[in-house]
Amino acid sequence: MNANDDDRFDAWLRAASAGYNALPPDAQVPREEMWRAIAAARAAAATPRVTRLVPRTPWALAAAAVALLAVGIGIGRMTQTDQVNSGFSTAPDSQLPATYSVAATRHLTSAEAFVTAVRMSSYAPRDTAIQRWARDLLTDTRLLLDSPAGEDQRRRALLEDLELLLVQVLQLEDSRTTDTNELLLDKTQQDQLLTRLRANVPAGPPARS
Amino acid sequence: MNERELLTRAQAGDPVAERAIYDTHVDRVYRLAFRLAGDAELAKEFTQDAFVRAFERLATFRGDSALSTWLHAITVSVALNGLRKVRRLKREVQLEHAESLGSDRPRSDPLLRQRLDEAIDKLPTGYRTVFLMHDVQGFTHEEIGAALGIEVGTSKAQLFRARARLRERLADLAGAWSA
Repeated sequence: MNANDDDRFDAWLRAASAGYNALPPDAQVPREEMWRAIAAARAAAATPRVTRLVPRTPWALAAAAVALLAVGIGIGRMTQTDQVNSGFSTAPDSQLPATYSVAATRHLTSAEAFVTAVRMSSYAPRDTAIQRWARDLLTDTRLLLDSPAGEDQRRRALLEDLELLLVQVLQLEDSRTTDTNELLLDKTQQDQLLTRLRANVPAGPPARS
Repeated sequence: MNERELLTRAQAGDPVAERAIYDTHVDRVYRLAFRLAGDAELAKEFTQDAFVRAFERLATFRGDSALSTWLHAITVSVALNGLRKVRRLKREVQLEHAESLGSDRPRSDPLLRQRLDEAIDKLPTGYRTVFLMHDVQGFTHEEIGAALGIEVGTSKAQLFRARARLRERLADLAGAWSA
């Protein structure tokens, strides 16, 4: 195939691929239907969830105390066993193959350090090293989302929010604005993400390699 | 009212401004979601999720990039994550109805069209996304880079590789497309 063929192919490809997954000509964008769904989802998210923390009756209170105690003992035993076996505590993740569990933990630890670095300075996101770090983390985040580690709903939601933050950080690189004090990233969003990352990273000394 | 004013009002929680932003961008967002998903229900779901996320985070948007670029970045992120879930479901459970995903396209396509569609479907996700955004939806490499969090050079390289892969897969039909 020569250069002319390549050009002809590219031209044909652009024209022919216009029909790929194209909306049928008579199709309407379901604007109103989608708007109603969006409004409903936002209204549901805005409604505060009321959780009854105190059981209605004394016997329910006693049952709750026993259940809490049992959970506490269970967690204590698991933690103790982990510490004996590995020398440091790990979050229980029995469904996940060990390789993915280790990879996910290391990734979240690195992400926690990253968000902390970004959080510390409003100039940090434009730093070249931070940008490179964000790019590497984004690749790993997407790989994890595609792996069995992304199947856990809680971890998945965390990885998706991390992915969005990383894309936002990388968008700053292309920004032409001179107003570097104006940070695209919301501090509250970073704080929430940081809290969730910390909750997902096991306590104790780092894993030995 | 220009986009900046609209944005300021929407950030202050004005529902009329929010609706105006939605009306301005929803068609392109939906079309992009449809291109990526190939299915009307999924496109609807991705569009809704994208706008819900966008409105949730609107206060964080400072206008360093165009609002449309920011919205498309969210849409692509939502769609790719959604498609990962769908693919996993399809792979693991092999739901009968999942086989019909992407079947909104006409059945009466000639062989070449059908082969092209299949070849695009088989592209790796990154190549496919860049190819669809650039060659089909008309986004610039700068916009794609911003939306996907990749370098402009990477976007160009992925487009080049996507086209090369398609050329390779359709080589036996050279007579047909060069006619």
